[in-house]
Amino acid sequence: MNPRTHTSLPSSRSADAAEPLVPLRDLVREGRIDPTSVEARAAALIQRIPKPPPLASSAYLRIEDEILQRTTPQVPRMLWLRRLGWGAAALSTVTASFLLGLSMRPARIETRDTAPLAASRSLELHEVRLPRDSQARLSVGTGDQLTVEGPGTLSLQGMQVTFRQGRLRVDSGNQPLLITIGSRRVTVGARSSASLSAHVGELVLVAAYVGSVTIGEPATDGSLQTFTVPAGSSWTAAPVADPRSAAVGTPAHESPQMAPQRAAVRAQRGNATVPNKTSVHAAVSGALTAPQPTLTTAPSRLLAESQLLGRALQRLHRERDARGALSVLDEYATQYADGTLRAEASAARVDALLQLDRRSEALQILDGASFSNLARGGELRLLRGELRAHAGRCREAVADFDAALRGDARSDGPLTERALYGVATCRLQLGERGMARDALRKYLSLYPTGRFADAAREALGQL
Amino acid sequence: MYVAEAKKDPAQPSDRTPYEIGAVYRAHAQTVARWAYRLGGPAIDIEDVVQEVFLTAHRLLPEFRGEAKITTWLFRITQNQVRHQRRKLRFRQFLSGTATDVIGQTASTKPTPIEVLEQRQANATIYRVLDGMSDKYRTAFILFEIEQVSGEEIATLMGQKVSTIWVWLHRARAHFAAGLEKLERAEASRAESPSTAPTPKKPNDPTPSASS
Repeated sequence: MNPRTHTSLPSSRSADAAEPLVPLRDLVREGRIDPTSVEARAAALIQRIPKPPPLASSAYLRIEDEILQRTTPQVPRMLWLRRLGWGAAALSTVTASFLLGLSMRPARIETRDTAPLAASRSLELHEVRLPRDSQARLSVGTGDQLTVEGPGTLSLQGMQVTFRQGRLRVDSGNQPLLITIGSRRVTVGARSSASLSAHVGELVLVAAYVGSVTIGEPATDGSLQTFTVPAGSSWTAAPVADPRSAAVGTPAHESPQMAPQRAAVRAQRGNATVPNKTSVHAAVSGALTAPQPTLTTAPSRLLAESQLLGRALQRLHRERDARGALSVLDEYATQYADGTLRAEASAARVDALLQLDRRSEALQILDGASFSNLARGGELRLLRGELRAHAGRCREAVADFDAALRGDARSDGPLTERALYGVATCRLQLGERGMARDALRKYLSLYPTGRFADAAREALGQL
Repeated sequence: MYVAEAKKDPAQPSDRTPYEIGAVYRAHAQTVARWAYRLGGPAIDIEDVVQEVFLTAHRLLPEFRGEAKITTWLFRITQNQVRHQRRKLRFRQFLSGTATDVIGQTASTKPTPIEVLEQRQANATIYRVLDGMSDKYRTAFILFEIEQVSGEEIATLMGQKVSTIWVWLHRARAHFAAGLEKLERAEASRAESPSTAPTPKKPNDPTPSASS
């Protein structure tokens, strides 16, 4: 709290006075104004207004994307310029890796919690494990920012970053950043932004926002095949049916006809000297001399699904066009009624409807769907509870809130805050005063300065 | 438990390194959102304001020489953006002929749990009265009475002398009191003789007749 200037003067209607004032709340609390006065009524109103909600994580990241997208110079598409850039990067990599090693600092972590921090110091990390509904942001190396959303596991060993579970947002600094995810190696280019999702130790999704992302994965002959996911596109791992096809994930943006041409280009570049540090590029130099058979087959159904869903997500999150996103999702629903990604499509539809404030329709979807296999399944269940509560279905809402709390017993993050408060208000609505009182007390013990703290205290005072 | 390394200005890594918009955003986005919420009231699109503030900040960053704190500089940009949005809102209301209808603080992408009815009504009443005040009195009142910022800090944020701020706050309080009394009288007389005119529908009402 900032220092206030207090005086003993009562509030004054002398409009030209330059004397310091005492805030209305303080005057009322100290009994220095008539409780029937308009000033007292104003103070009562001010005390009741809610605290400003923090920017939601999704909004925070979306706006950050938008700002970086609009303020970062676009990478030129001309191939010759890319080759020139790769060549320069290759020549400078040895020097850069040496300097990177020298400048490597211990990772610093910032917490997203809005509660004030008790202490601050640098930590040297080896592993980060996050429970559900939590998030950590790490500064690694020179200018690299990693944001992990739980449940997730990330380990840091010197320059090696290994990601096993959850969602990882990467904003690289002036050097490319290499991340190992299972059998695949993802290189996020310099000054690039991307989102990676991993499940049980394997990479499942890459969304490139700015710059470039290169994925390297082992081929059947033991070599490393690479392909690039350019900004504005996404890539999803193909389902493992044939071990050979699992080794290759066709880029979402690229048609099969392009693949042989790119392989030839890589073979030409392979004659250049490639230092060992950039192991992805080094592996290219002798590996791809001919296209693999799977690269020339028609895109898999899952690939096509993910491309369509990716378009919908781009409309929704980057272009803020909820209506456009819904029309793409309608197309998805028509083409892939039993698609593999239908749960993700439903979740995207819920987000789009909420952006348009069509809550009842969003609730209809949540009522009929199961999102337990999604990373954000807990959040969606909590959302369903809130919408049900809003619709007056408190008994059902309490079940959702309780499930959210049970699934996250030790977390004190924003989702748990919402769930606890939701339980309390629903119990009140249902007339279960004892349980409402317990929930309010628990909420205030965990979130004494939380978003709903004032309302919770007032409700507790009335019970 | 995670802790952060404290920095005087987290957006600027060192004295020699210029500000970079991404770092400025990461350091101050939530603060700007809070200001936008308070200054704009419940009808404002907070996310829109935050985005515009930082895009504007990026454009003006080369001219920022660090004479003032970056928070002060961002506050002025936020104030201007909120003013711009409120002007647009008033213009839209003028064209559509509907009265201001405050639907609450819900961000469009994130519904809240059951809102306490008194909170919503208090919020609506306060901002209805504030909308009738001039920008400078309104801002000073919000910062002092609602955000509990000291007079000296308000002077820094608004680029005025402290004595000027106290004068504004006295006037703002008087205007707020008068505006509140007027609103209470109007509501009391409406309660005594209910109007037969239909009440305006809330925007974004999901009922079929108001579907978007």
